[in-house]
Amino acid sequence: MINRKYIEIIVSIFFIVLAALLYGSADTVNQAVSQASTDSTSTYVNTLAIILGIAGVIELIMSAISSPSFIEFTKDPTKFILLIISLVGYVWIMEYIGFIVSTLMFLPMTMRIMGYKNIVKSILISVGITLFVYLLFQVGFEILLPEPTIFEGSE
Amino acid sequence: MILLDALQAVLAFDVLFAIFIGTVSGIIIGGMPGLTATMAVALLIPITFSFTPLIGLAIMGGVYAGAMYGGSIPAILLSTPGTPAAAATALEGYPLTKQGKGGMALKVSVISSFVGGTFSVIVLLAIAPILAEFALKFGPPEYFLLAIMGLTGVISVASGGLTRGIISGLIGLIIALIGTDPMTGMVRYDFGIIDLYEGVSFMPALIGMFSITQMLALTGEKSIASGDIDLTTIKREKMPKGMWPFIGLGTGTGTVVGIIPGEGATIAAFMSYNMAKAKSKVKNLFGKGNPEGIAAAEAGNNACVGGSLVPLLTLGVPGNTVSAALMGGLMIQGLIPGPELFTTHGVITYGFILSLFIANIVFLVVGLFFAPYFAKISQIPTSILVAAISVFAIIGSYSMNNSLFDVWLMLIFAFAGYFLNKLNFSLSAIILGMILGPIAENGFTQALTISEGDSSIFFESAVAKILWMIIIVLLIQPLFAHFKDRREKAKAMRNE
Repeated sequence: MINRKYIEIIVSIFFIVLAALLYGSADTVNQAVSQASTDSTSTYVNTLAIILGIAGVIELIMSAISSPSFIEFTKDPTKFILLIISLVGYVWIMEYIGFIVSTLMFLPMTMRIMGYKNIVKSILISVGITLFVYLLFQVGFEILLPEPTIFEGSE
Repeated sequence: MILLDALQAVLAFDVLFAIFIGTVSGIIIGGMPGLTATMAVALLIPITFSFTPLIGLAIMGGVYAGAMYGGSIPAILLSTPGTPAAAATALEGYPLTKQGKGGMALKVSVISSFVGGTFSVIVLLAIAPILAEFALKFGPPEYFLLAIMGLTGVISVASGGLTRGIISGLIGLIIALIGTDPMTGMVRYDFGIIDLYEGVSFMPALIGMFSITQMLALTGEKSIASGDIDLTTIKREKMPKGMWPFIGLGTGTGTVVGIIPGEGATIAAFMSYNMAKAKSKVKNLFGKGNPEGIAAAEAGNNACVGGSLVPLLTLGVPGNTVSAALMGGLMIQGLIPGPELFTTHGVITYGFILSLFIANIVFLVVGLFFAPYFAKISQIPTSILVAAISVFAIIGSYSMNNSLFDVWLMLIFAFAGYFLNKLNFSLSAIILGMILGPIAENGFTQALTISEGDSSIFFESAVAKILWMIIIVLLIQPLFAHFKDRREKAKAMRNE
C-alpha cells in the first residue's frame, strides 16, 4: 500500500516540468529552419505545452487538497516484480541466445512464478507454444526471429 | 457493381475460413475474463499483415464481433463477464443460470447479439459511403477539429475525470511529436536514437498498454473465472416471448452510441440495460434474472461494432480502442481511411463490411450449439495464459519491423501504462492521442500556414462550427456529471 496523494503530487509535478521543457523546446526546434510553416509547428507544440501545464497545475492542486488514501499497485508484489524481471530478462537474453532457447527458458519460469506447479506439464506446454510460435512466424510468415549472436565472435 | 465484386471476394473459401477462425478465436478471447477484443486485435495485426488485405481484415473483424458476443458466455454461466461490456449481462444471466435457465439466457444472448451486430453493419453499409463522400469537403482546419473531437470523445468518458483524461490525450499527442516534422522534414525529439527517426510506432505501444499491462494485472489471480460449470444442467430452451422490443431498444442505442467517438460497448450495454429496466413491465425481476435485461445489453454492445467503424472508415477517427487497433491493421495494409476506401479500395472495404455479416452468422451458429463449452476455456489457469500471451506480445511487437527496439518500447509502454492506469489516467486516450496526433498536427500547421497565422480559420466554415459545438458538448458533459456527483455526495453527508 502506497499513499496515493504523494504519488499524484509527484506525477503532477512531472507533467508540469514536462510542459515547461516542451514549451522551451518548441523554439529550439524552430531555430534551424526559419519559415512561416515552422512557426505554426512551434505554435502547435506550445499549445500542447500550455494545456499540459494548466492541466498539471489543476491536478497538483486537486491532489494537494485531497484527503489521504492508499493505492494498491498489485495484489501480489512478489509475483508482480518477478514477472517484470522475467519479461525484461527474456527480451535482453533473446538478443544473445536467440528466440528458441530464450522462450524455452522464459515460459516454464514464468509459469512457475505465476504458481503453476506441475514441472513436466509446464515443460511440455512450453515446448508446444515455442514450436507453434516458431512455425507460425518463422516458417509460416517468413519473419526472421532473433537468432543466437553469442557465438558469432568466436568463429 | 463494387458491392457484387466484394461479395464474390468474401465468398471465396480462404476468406470464409478466415472469418470463421477469426470469429471463433474472438469468442474464445472474449470469453476469457481479463483478455479484451483490443488486445486480441492488437496481437493479430503482426500475424495478419502478411495476408492479403481482405483476409487480414476479415480475421480482425471476426475477432471483434466474436469477442463482443463471447464475453456474455462466462457472464451468464460463471457470473464473470468476459469483457467489461458483458457486465450488465452478468446481472441478469447468472441468476437465471442459478434457476436452471442458463440455456435460455444463452439463447437470448446470442440472438440479441446477432440482431444488434447485423443491424449495425447494415447501418455502416448504408451511411459510411455517404459520410466518406462528405469528408471530401474537409480541409486542414476541419481535420484538426475532427481529431480533437475524436480525442475529446474518449477524454469525456475517462474514469479518472476530465483533467486526467486531458493529460492522457496530451501524452499521446506529445509522443506523436517524436520523429520527423511533417512540415519541415526535420527530425525532432529523437534523443539521438536512430530508431525514433520515423516516430514511435503505435503498434508496440498498443500491444504494451493493452496486453502486457493486463498480464501484470493478472498476477495474483489464481484462475480468472471462479465457480464450475455443470454442462448437464444446461438444457436447450426456447426463446422467451416479448424479447423483441428490448432487442430493438438495445440495437438502436448501441448503434448510435457506437458511432459517437469515445462511447464504447460498455456504455452502450449499460445504457440499453437501464433503458430496458425503465421500460419493462416486470421491473421487480431486474437483478433476479430478467431476460429482458440480457436482450437489451447484448444487442447494445454488439451493435457498437458496426457503429464504431463508421467514423473509422469514413473519417479516419477511431471511436474506441478496438477500432484504433483495427486502424493499425488498415494502415499496415496500406489502406488510409477516407473516401478512397470506398472507391479505389472498394472491394476490400465492402468485403470487410460484408465479412462482418458472416461473422455474425458464425457466432450465431456457434453460440446456439456450443456456447457452454466455450465457458470451460475461460477456466484455463492464469499461469499458462500470462506466459503464453507475453510471448505472443513480445514476438508480435518484434515482427512488425524485425526490431528488438520495438520490443523494448513495448515494455516501456506496458510498465508506464500500468502505473498510469493505476492512477486513473486513460490508456485509451493515450493511444488515440498517438494515432490522431499526426492528423491533428498536420491539420493545425497546414491551416495556420494557409491563413498566415490567423487562427480564425478554425472557426470559419459551417463544419468547423458544428465540430466546435460537439467538442464543447463533450467537454461540458463530464463537468456537469462531476458537479452533480459532488452535490449528491455533499447532500448525503449532510443527511448523515
